Amino acid sequence: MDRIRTIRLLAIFPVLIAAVGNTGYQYLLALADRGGKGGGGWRDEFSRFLNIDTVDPSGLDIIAVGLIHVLPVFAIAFIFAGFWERIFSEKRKRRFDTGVIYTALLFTLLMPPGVAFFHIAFGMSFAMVFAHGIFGGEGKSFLNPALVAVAVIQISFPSALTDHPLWTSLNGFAGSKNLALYHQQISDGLAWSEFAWWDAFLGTTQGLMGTTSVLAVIAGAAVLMYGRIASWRLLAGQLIGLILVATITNMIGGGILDMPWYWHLVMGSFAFAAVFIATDPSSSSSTNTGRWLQGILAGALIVFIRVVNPSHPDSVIPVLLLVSMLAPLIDHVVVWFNIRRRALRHG
Amino acid sequence: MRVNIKKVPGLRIGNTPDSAIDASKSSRSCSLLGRDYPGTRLQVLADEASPVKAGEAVLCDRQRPQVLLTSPVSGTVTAVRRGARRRLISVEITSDGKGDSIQFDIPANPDRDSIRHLMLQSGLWATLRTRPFGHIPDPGRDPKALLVTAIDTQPLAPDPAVIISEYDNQFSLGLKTLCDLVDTPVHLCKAANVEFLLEEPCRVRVSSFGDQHPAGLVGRHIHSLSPIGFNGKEVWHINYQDVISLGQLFSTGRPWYERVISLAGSAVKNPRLMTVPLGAAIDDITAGELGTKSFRVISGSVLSGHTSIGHEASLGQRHRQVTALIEASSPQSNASYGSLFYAGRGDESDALIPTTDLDSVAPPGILAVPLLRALIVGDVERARDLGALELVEEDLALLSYTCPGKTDYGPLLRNMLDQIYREGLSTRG
Repeated sequence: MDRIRTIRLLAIFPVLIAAVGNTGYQYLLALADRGGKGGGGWRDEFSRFLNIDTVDPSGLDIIAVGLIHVLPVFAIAFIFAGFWERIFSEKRKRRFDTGVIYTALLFTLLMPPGVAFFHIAFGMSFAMVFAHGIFGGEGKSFLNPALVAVAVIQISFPSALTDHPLWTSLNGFAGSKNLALYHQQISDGLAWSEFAWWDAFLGTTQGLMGTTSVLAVIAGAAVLMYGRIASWRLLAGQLIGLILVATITNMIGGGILDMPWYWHLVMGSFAFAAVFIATDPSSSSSTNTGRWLQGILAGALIVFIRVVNPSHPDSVIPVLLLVSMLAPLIDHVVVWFNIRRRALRHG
Repeated sequence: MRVNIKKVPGLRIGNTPDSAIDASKSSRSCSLLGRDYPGTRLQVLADEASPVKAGEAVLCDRQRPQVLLTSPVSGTVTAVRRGARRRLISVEITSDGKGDSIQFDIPANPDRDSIRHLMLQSGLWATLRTRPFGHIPDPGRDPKALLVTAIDTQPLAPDPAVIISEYDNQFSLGLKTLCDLVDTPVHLCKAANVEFLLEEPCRVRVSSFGDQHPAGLVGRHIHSLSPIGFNGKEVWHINYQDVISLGQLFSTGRPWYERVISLAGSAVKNPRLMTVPLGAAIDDITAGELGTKSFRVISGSVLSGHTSIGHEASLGQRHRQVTALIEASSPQSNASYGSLFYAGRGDESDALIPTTDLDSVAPPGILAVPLLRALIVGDVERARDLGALELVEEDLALLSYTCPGKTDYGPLLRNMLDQIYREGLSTRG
């Protein structure tokens, strides 16, 4: 159990670094665009207090500004997650689950930099009670609490998860600036040159804090797979599902349907959620066949909803929620076939 | 036939034992342990303080009184210990050092019935095991196959090839006797890198498995040679050293009352093979062999053995090794860092986290997590349908070791098998 927790924290570390770096970089970039004037708010006040050079920032400035955005979100998420876990562990007479650190980190990395503190507190409390505590903690709940926390904020406050208000604002698009731009390009006929695939892969684009850098996510995936926690079948399944449906939509063509699979891969929170949320062993299928099925289903549905529903371009969170709920059903079918095969083979 | 069984990431727990049998130890007392005979209600035939010879019946099965368990030494029954619900824990026989043993009559023409009769009389019948359940077989029944296990891949186990080459004649005579015992196929399961010379003509079918754990588990052999179904047919299996004992019985009229075991593990100064009496006291085996003050001794392997403690501190009937490990300085040292905020009772195990590790060490054809869940919640029919009948405790040892929730699945499986047996659920309606 402790081994799992340690490896998971190690795996998410590169993503955390990328999140801090990119959030600081994007914030300073936006400020520079506006001639150094921020839009007010305590984050601006605090960076001014720290004497951050907004015109010609150093690496240290970038990290400091990144931490100003990431740390408070994490702190509040952790305080609320820890509070509820403490209450449940006390009441249920069980060990305090240190996995809440990881849950809070996952949640933080799925938040936009400008998220309101009330939303964090609300989402985390809801998830820790209804997707964690009342089931008896990790391994007994069937949904990942971080996923539920993000989903409940997305449903309750649809505008909460759009980008930082200071940044190039495109209303109505949750999740990723890249996707939003793509959609706008389709409707406005803008030039498709504003950003390059490598930027999206390395993570120097705007988006939810932890989800921009696919490179860091791949590093995390390597750690998780080396530690034998994430199932490679689930990951490969998602990739196959994604490529499959993307290829089909490419063949149909027209508008967003033309988006090739390697763009789908680096856009939105697909990579991050596929590696850190979908492979959570306790909320995914528990048989190898089931893992293949669940992965393919998740990858396929994400692309499908992305391209057919322009009002919800980053479909990752609802799809993973749906697929997590389907996992017991998938397992049920796999078990049924296993029992039938045993009865037929051995008589 | 050759079956490849994938190796499981190994454990490092000390040096492998030397491959020569270079010591022989005697023991002041030998014990028969109740836990070695699951599913059997034992009746004590020799009361406390009564003298017994080696080979004399000490216990019998209450339901099948012809199934006898015999004393491995001559001496006096010094203790009959019972536990909860008067379950027999152990019968201890203190050796008198005289070595008196009963001479059994060897049948002139060994056939099915006379072999069975002699095996029952001499206590060797109780070395056979059935699958499903791992019980002593019913003398009136016939198996659909008989497996001889001449491979042992448990960590630090003795190499069967060394022991069989030492007791070559007895082993081949034992095999021949087994062929006369049943009409059904007799399989000899061996490691891939070992060759046995079998006397011709012989209807023993040789199958080789890998040489890394878990290739030596009987459950794996049965799965590939003669799988257990829901039709009530059973497979019998016997260990190679018990075959040697059977050969000895049919050549001299006396079973082999000793076994070659390996004494190894991180706490052992000089890991090696040695000959010890059946059921020898663990203290006598380890006397003068351990290089440390704080240690834990296990009868059997570190994966599926029993910690030697209390009245059960003797060599198990099916154990071919004694493992002695250096004990961590404090029993609390493996506490989780969650114990900083600890509010629990300390005895609970964590939830089952279905990591892919569990699938990679699962017995073949078994869906690990659904089966473990069925065991945890006590769903007998689901566990049976998922293949619990193919398994005994040792098959789940790797799963217990891998499971992050620290649940020991062996006892859960045993409870479930007992219930299936009691309620006659082994055939599927």
